[in-house]
Parts: sequence; structure tokens; C-alpha cells
Amino acid sequence: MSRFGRRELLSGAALAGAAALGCGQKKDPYRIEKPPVPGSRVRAGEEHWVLSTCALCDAGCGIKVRVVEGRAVKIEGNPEHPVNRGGLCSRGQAALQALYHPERVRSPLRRQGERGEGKWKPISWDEAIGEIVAKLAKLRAAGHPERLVLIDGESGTFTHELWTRFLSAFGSPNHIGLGSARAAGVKLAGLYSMGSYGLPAYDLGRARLVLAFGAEQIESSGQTMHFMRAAREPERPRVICVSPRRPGCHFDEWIPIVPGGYGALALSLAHVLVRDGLVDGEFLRDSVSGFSAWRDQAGVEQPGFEVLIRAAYAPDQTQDVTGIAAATVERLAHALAKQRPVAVASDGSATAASNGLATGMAIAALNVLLGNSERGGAARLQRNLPPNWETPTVDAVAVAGSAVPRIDGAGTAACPLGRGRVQAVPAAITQSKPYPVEALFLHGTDPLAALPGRKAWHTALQRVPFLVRFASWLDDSAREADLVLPESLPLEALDVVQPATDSGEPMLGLRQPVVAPLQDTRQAGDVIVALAAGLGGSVGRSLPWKSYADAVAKSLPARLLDSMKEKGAWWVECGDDDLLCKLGLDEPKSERFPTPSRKFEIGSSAVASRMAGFPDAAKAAQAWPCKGLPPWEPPRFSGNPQRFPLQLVLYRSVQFVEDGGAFLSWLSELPLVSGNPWLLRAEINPADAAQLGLADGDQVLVQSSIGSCPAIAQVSDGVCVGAVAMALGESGVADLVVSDEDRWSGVLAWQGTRVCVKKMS
Amino acid sequence: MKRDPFDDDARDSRRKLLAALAASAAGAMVGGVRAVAAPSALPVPAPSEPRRKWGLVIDLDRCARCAGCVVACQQENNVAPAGPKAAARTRPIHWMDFLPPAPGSVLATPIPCMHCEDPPCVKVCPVGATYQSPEGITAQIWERCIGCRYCMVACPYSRRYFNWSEPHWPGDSSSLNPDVAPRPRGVVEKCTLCHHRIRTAVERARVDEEPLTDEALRRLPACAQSCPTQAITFGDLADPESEVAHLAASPRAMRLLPEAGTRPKVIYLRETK
Repeated sequence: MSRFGRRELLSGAALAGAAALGCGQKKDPYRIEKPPVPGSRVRAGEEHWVLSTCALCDAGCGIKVRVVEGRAVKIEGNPEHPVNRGGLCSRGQAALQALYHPERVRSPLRRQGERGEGKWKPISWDEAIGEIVAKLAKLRAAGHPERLVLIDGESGTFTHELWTRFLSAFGSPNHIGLGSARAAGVKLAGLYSMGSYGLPAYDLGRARLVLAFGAEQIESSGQTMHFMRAAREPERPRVICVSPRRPGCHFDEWIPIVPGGYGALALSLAHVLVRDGLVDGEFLRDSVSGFSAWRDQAGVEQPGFEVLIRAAYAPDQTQDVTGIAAATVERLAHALAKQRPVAVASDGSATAASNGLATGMAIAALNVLLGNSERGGAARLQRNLPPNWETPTVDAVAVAGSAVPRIDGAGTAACPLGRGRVQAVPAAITQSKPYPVEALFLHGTDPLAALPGRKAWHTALQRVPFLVRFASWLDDSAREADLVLPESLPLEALDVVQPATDSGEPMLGLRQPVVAPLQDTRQAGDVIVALAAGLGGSVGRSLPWKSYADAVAKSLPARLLDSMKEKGAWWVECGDDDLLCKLGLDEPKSERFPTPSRKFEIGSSAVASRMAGFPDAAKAAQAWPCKGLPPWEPPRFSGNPQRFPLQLVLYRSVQFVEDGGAFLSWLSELPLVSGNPWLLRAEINPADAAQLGLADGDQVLVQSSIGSCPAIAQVSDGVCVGAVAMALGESGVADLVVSDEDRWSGVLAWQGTRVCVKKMS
Repeated sequence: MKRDPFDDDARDSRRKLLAALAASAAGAMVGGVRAVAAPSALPVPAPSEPRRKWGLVIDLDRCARCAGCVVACQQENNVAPAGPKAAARTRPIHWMDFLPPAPGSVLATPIPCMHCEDPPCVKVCPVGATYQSPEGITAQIWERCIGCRYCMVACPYSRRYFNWSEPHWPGDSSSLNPDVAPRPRGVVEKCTLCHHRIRTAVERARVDEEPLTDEALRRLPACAQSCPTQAITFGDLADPESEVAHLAASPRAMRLLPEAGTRPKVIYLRETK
């Protein structure tokens, strides 16, 4: 960007207007500083709109982008799209700033000099891919394909599915997602109680009351757009939010809770519902296992949830744990019973604790007590439509490699009930346990900045012989990489996304290239296809496509793809009967749960059978009784309570973008009620502030046992006493977090750190 | 009814559209300087038409505080980010801003220019740079502004911003909206109610010889268009049948600082509890 003078600016702009109207003179003195797309033939005044799908969170909102003379100039919501119906939040609109960001990586880079030194040599894509293929071929030749590890921040796209396919054909079980650091507590609860891994779909169009455990879902997550769309209706659901921090978005009632106390509150509400006979008895009899007395596999009679919950978790017993008065719990339980259909919704922030999975299961159980799930209720199973590619061909090397335990210990005794533990990766790499990692791919996440344990990650990244970062910017992790592969941004690339809907019905969103790539970038899908072609053999045969576009074209029926191009997305209402039949969507949704008993399982048989598979199963079963009650235990907090008296509450604000929202000045500069929006804030209750001698706007240092982070104190009654709230995604915040986890499920305990706050002089 | 492409009248109206569009776009380019320099080029309603009174209604009960309107406005109107240093000196420009909670709420209030019926900012301008348009928009001619900032002092809502530096977009200026001129250093700028969008809609309706319906207007400004909860509604307050007029008559309706006597045409609807 060159700075130009007032006169140039005015005449330039005026002539741009004339040009935009198609009446530019032959010799146009107005010149855009650079041709918008090198080598393209755009005509002055040419303007059109392109339909696509937003990529800034996993909601999958439909967007339409105004393109003037080959330049994208405005993003608006697609009015026809069922997710957002024309609306779009600040995050989605800021995608434009990412596209034209000055610090984008312009071509593949090879590291020169030491790691982190910042010396790079631009290379061609052929060189970069050749180099990776040579390394990967060596791993396969040595019979150790499992030593390739991918950390993938993206999910719910066909690119993600392509990675899975590539790794299974290559022979590595190590496709590690960020699930454990996001909403895994809720998703695993869905798996063990309802038989399906994923967030339930909350039918907000029908719900009269939403009890939200955690504020993220109504404030800043992929579900938020469903809440916002429901708010348009005259009969919008009433939203009661339970959270240690008052949500920054609209709600009807806020109930502050002590961090980590969600599970106790859910069980306490269940106690009142059972005690006062407010449960849906018919539904519980027909569709829920483990509510009344039952016989286990050994033939021993077990008491069942009904008896157990009556005996424990009375509101006056839990009020010390949750900080919520018994009378409030009673009132809330009766409100839930009265205002059906109710959605008891939860998110990653509620379950990101050392008791995460049990908390998620207690909240899920609360939903069925009210007769909600699947039967005239507001919480349902989510269905997806995966790409319809042929089964990959797998050779002996791949079979052997895929059978090796994962490096993060998911599915082993270290994490018996989890699906992934990204936080365990640094230790595994550093100690070469269970085996050394030879190559690490980082896609869609910057673990150094975004995950706790910066030191551990830094040491681990140094130990990896070959580190490849797919990145749009030279972020912290990219600086340590051997190869940086610049990824095309979503506005330049093709992809298909599988958004979660609130009806539970499957949906596909199309991401179309809105403008041609501005730099020498490629989308990850094209790189994966090129890697497979380079490796050849069974890997090449498993991904036999010319390009990612070709792979997408082969993934879905042509009629469906055409319909997506026209509307920007495909949802069930768009499909003709033939197509729905072909996709297996013609039948009305089954009322049965895909669990072994075909019922909702309060005492999960899946947990029991998983536990039985481990050597010290008896010991584990003792600790995780799974005999009817989700085993709630108090949350663990790291840090000496004397030295670190406050609990750190982390939240994702509306500005949060997984992979680099801090780069976007629009989001960094969103207006605040007062003060400089660029500065990091630590919200603290007036009672705590008075004790510490802090005033609003003071510069403070927030310290945990492993790190510290400067911030501006914001004294606010929107945080419960004894807590400090800070926004995730801001630089330095993750460094405060002690990397603790739920020992059963591997859910990362974001909300498990104690801190102290000191005034800086 | 289909129009005959050889029909002279139709061609004539097309020519008129081009002329009008060129004039209005050029007007938009230079921030409405045409409004004063060549008033005849402005599409002023014929005397027989009722005079419009544009207004906004913001429903605080629906507003989720997602700030979509803020970014939509910045993108549509080429408002440059200030950066951390200027922000530390309270210099960011947000035509759509957040103010402290309105009575009965704990959440911030989204606040554009109030487009007062009796705007104090207009009275104090020594050079006639700010004026009230015939349709009730408080407008500003960037080129005429001498940067004295009297209007900023006069505005009881702090809805005017001074450009302390040349606008600077990180990266290049490729994503700038060609319909709106950026403002140079040293002038005051403010919300225009997206008058370039209004003009385009009015002209399009005139050329298509179709009435400009209230429904087509409701989401016209960028803030209203982007709002996921449809909390922002735009329209003609003078038209008793319009959505904004209905909403403005709601028992929840309120105006900010009514005691200032400015009679804002931005009306808020209180939260229900």
C-alpha cells in the first residue's frame, strides 16, 4: 500500500466511479495500483456476485461476494441460505481482509539457516512437492508410515475427508484433530449416550426455552448463527445462560456458576425433575436405558438412574460446588418442565475441564429426562453427507502402519474413551514414545500460539526432522517449519463443507473460488492429490484424481453439484425424490438411537465395553462406575490456591478465528464501550478488584504457575467472584494455561488453571 | 409487462437512468458535492410525490451484539482501520459504534448517526459542509469540510469522526468499494445511511417503472443488510404503512437523549424481560 495524496485520491476515486459505470475513457488515467489479477482480462466496470460458503467458523453460512473488476469488494449473507438467511456476523465479513492481507505468504518457502531464524528461499510448487514426496516415500520404504503425523485444525470439509483418505492409504493412524481442545466433551457424550459422535442439533425454531450450559454457543461458535436466526421470529426461544462470565451477546437470563460446576448443576436439576415427578415417564420407559432398575451383563441387578439421583445431588448439596442457590435450581428445574420443548444445549467451554466427559453426559441425560431428544423435542442427532468416493486400495505397508497405536494415545489405556488428544503430541514427539515422529504436517492450526504449553510445543517442533506448515501467514509455527506451503484462502478455493444444521438434516455448502488466487498458492486438497500422485502405487490409486476439483466432482451426484452451484448450498428441501433416495435420505428419520440397545443410554454400554478392552479394566471400571449415573467429580485446578487465588475463565469472543483472527484489523478494532480495542483485557469482579486494589483500566500482569501475560483490567460484574475472564485467541493467553486433561476422554481442560493478577507499576 | 426494446420511450428512460446513475454515482464519489454544485442532477422527488423521511429502527431485544453491522459498514463505506497506536488515542472511526448499555440492558448499544430532524451539527458548520438532505439524511460534503470539528462538539451522540491521518488499508486498497470515496486527512466524516445504496434503489425503481416497495427498502443500508437477527430495519418514517413506522409506534420504542430536542430518526426498541 502506498500512501497517496488527497488530490490523487479524490480524482482517482471519482474516475473509478466513472469506470465502474462502464463509461471510462479510452486512456484511463485512473489505475488500480496493481492489476487485480495478474494476467487476467477483466474489463473496466465489470461487476458480478458469486455465491459461496463462509469459512471463518464451522457454521457454514451462505455468502455472496461482490466482485468488481476481478476484485472482491464486499461479502454479504446469501438471503436464500437456510443457515443464515442473509445475515452475516463480523467474523464472516472480515474474510475479505484476510484475502488482501499484506503479509500473505506468496509462494512455497524453504527454510535457510536455523529454525526460527526467519531466512527463507522461495521455491516452486514442483520442488516443494518433490521434496515432501521423497521424504514420505522413504518412510514407506522403511516400513514406518505411522511416523507421519498430521495435526489438522479443520473438520467438516471434504479436504478433511481427503486427508483421512490419504493417511489411511499411506498407512498412518495419526490424523490428529483439534477436537479435544474444542467441543469433544459434548461430542463424546453424544457418542456414548446417543451412539453418534457430534454436537446434537438443537431445533431452535421449535424450542420455547434454551438452557445454555456455557456461553460460547450463543456468542461465538458454529451454533451461534442458529440462535441469531431464531431471534428473528416473534416467538423466539427464551435463552437462559449458565456461565462464569456473562455472555457478550443477547440472552434473557444469566446465571453465574463456579468454573467446572456445570455437571453438578445438571445432576442437581435432574434430581429436582425426578423428585418432583416432572420427567417424561413414557419416553423414559420406551427410549431410555438405565433410568429404572436394570440387569448388567453379569446378571446383577443395578439400581438405575432414578434411584441413584434421588439419593444424591439435592440442590442444597450442590450449591457450594456450583455457587448457585438451591432456590434458583428449583426454579430453573420447574421452568424447564413447564416450557417444553426445551433444548438443554452445551458447548466446548462447559466441558473443557478435568471432568469434561462426565459433565457432557450429565447434560445429555438432562435432555432426555424432559423427553426431548428425537421425540417432539428440541435436541436431535445430526446427520452428515460424506463424499461418495470409492473405497481406497490399501497395501500391506498401510495396513501395518494403520494398526500401530496413535502417538497421542487415543484409544489406549492413557485415554480409553477419547478420540484424540492433541495436547499429548508434544510429549510424544520429545520422548519419541511410542515411536519417533519423522514428519509432521500442520494444517489449519498454529499449535504454538493457539494451544497451551508453548515451551513443550516449541521443544517438540525442534525435534521433528521434517516439519511442513500449510499456512497463509508466517505465524509462530510456520517460523519453525522446514517448508511453508501457502494455502489458498477460502475465497480463492473450491471445497465442500458439511455444516451442522439445527434440524439435524444433512446439508452441504459449496465454497467456490470467488477470485483467482492472488499469490502462488494452492489449496490443501490439490497438494494432497499431488502428493498421492507423486507417491504412486496404492496411494496414488486411492486418490486417482487429476486435481481436487476432479475429486469433488466425483464425490457427489452431478445433479446435486449443479444445484449447489446455483444456490451456493444443498439442503434436503432442494433434493428431488430420486436424489434423496439415492443418498439414503428418503426415509423419515428413525426415532431410535444408534446405540447397542437402540435407546438413549444413561449408563453407557459403549463406555463399559471400551473399558473392558483394557488390561486394568477392573480398576478403571471402579473409577468410572457407568452403572447409571454419569460419574461427576469436582474439577481439578492447577496452581496453588494460596499463590494463585483466582480461576482463569477462557472464552472465545466473536472475534475468535482458529487460524489467525488477530491478523484482521477489523476484528481487532471492533468497538468496545470504552478503551483501546486492540489491547487484551482481563475481566475481574469488583469484589476481587477491590481486594487487589485494582481499578478499571489498570495495567495488570496475569500470572499462572507456568506463564504470565500482560493485560488491561476490566472491572465488571459480568464475571463471578473468584474468576478472571480472558479471550482465547489473543496472543499470550494460551501460554497461561496448564495443559491438564480429562483422564478418561482426553478432553483438554482449558478451564483448569489458577492465576493471580498483579498491578503493574 | 414486457417492454419492447425498440420502444422509444423505454430507450429514453434507459438513457435517463444512465444519466441519473452517472450523476448519482459521481455524486457519491465526491461525497455529495453535486448536491450543492448541481442540484438539478439530484433525483429529487416530484412535487406531487410525498416527501420521504428515511429512518432506522434498532430492536435491542433482537440484537445479538455480533458486530456484523460494524464491519459491514466499514467495508461498504471504505472506513479505514486506525491501528493500535491511533486506537490508543481514541481515534478509530466507526460510523456504526457501540455505546454503553441503554436503560434496561447490560449490553452495549449499537449506534449509527441519529439523523436528527433538528441536527445541531448542521447549525454550527461555518462553511456549509454539513446539511440535511430533502429526505432527512444528515449529510456531509467531505471536500467542503475545513476540519474545525465544531460539529463534533455539537453532536450530543458523538456520531462524527475526524480523520487524524490519511486513510490506510493494510495490504492494498483492492477491496475498496468503488461506489464510495475515501475521506482524506483533516475532514470530519459520518454515517450517510448508505445514501449511495438508497440512490441506486430509487433510480432502479424509477427506471423499471415499478414502485419502490417498503419490503425492498427494509434491508437496504449495509448494517441492516448484514444483521443476522434482522434487528435493524430501514424505511420511510413518513409512510404510515412502512415497517419502520409501525415499529416506531411500538410501546417499546425510545429515542436517545430526547431531552436534547434533536428528534432522532433512529429509534430503538427496548429489550423485553
